[in-house]
Amino acid sequence: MTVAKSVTAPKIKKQSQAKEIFKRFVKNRSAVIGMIILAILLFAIIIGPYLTGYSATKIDIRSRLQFPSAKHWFGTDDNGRDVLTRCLVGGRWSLGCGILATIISAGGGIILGSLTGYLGGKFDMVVMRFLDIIQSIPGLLLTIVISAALGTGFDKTILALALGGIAGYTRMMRSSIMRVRDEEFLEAAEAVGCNSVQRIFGQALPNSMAPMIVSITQGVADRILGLASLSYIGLGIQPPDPEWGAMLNVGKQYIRTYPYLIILPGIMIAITVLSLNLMGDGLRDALDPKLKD
Amino acid sequence: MGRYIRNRLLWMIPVLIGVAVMIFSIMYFVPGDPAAIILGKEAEEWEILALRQEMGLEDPFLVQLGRFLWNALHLNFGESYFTGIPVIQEIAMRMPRTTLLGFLSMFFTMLVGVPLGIYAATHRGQLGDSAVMALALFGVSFPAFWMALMLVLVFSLRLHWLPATGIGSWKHYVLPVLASTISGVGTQARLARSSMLEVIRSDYITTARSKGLKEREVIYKHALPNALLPILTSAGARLAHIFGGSTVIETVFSIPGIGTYMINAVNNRDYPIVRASVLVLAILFSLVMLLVDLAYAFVDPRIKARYAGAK
Repeated sequence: MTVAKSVTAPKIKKQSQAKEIFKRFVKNRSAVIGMIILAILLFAIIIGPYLTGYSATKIDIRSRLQFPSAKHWFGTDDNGRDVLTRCLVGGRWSLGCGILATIISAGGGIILGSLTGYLGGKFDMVVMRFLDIIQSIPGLLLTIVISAALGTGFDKTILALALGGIAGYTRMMRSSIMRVRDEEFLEAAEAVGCNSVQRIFGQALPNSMAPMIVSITQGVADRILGLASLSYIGLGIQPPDPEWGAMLNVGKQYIRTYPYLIILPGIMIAITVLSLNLMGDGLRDALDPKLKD
Repeated sequence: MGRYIRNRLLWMIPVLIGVAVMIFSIMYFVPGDPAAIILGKEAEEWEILALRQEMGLEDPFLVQLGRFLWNALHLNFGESYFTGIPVIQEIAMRMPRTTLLGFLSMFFTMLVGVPLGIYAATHRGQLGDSAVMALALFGVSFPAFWMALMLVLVFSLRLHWLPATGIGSWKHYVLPVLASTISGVGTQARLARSSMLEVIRSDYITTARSKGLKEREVIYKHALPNALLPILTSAGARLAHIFGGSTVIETVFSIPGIGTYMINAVNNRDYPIVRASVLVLAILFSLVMLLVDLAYAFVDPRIKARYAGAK
């Protein structure tokens, strides 16, 4: 029973630490602004499409290529679809893809990085050499090649975006774990009889998550940008699905005559990425004990 | 030092072979039969089979892989399925444009980004810091290719100052370089700032200050050289980013570089081109990383010392 007690004791402290981090996060003005923008954006892309009164995919040739007006705030595209509705629905694709791909990447990286960092030895060496190989291919290039191999569409694109990112997360997690590996609390965990799985995922991992959390926030932003690039060059999400990059791909032929078709989806991307970056910066400051007041 | 360089060089060989194996394997599993694509929709099944045999596509995976590696070693990447032009010939022609674009972008990104970041770090919490960081944050939030489209819209289509597509004079390079620089400067400034801040907070800077050195001296003689090390590493990462992004930027400006070559090949399923382009860009990137590592070892006395004894 004494073991159980010693395990519950740090839990109470952990809660207060989370609270403290949250307090610092809320005090950070830019982080709060980022969170508010993201909340509004999420609200808009979830609820918005029902309010505009237009369909994101239904073709209406009679009202094609209309400049922004009271009727169509963002104008209409070459198939007469309301661009505002498409931008909002596009957000579901972009954010959905970005978030899911990051979860897969980070999940893979956390598991692989924890194992390599904690176990070390031959396993670590083999994995790291393999990562060396993966990382000698510039990131977007690898994503393009994987995406070309897998094909287009929502699920395959998520996988393509995710696979390229695992290497980076693994490295990050590994170095975090290695930093805490020789700390006394792990020795203590071993002493009270935790097995290595408990030590890695129950003790070492939570204590080295801080840089990971920041990097995950920014990972979503990076993946939204990556997805836009993929769709823009004709991979990724395909028209008529309204992903932002795919909208830019269609809009580029009208750059001379109907520039709003490329300006507006780009601004949507920028707002989303900006809010995620603001939040990421806020989190980094909040999680960094060196910046404690 | 000599041993370090040799080890580092030797290590490149397995890595590059690994890259070649990986690229070949990924492309091997691409759906769609190149023979069927070349012959078109009306081809009979036996015609496709005959061509597959001729192209060696019926051989086992390992045989094909071995042939690919052996040929790649001799810089023979085969021919384009569609034009029949040897891939290496096209790459040799396009390579200088992509490299020029990449290195120019990197040069300007560092030239602008690093001083901005250092300025922000040394003026932490002041108006200048906030302004630089706000700008940097906006810079990293726009996709580079969208920035490129906006530049085309303003400078080519509205103002008619600069050409929108193609290559020819130096003017053609202004907008592409500007586009990738704008999106890179933000990242670089943020990195430079945080690495500088890290150094400024460290103990030896406090020591330098407390022994009465002038602030200028503390910053430029003690802090800056140490902050530059991580910045140097980030330069390598930036170049990877630029090479990757160049594919999209080249597409926007229709620059006949490796990027457009590869993207077109991806869309046409012209596998030999895709394999060769990725491999060549990976080799180029590895070489630059090698230079960065060597520069690092040259600058950082700790690495130099580790190998000095074992010369």
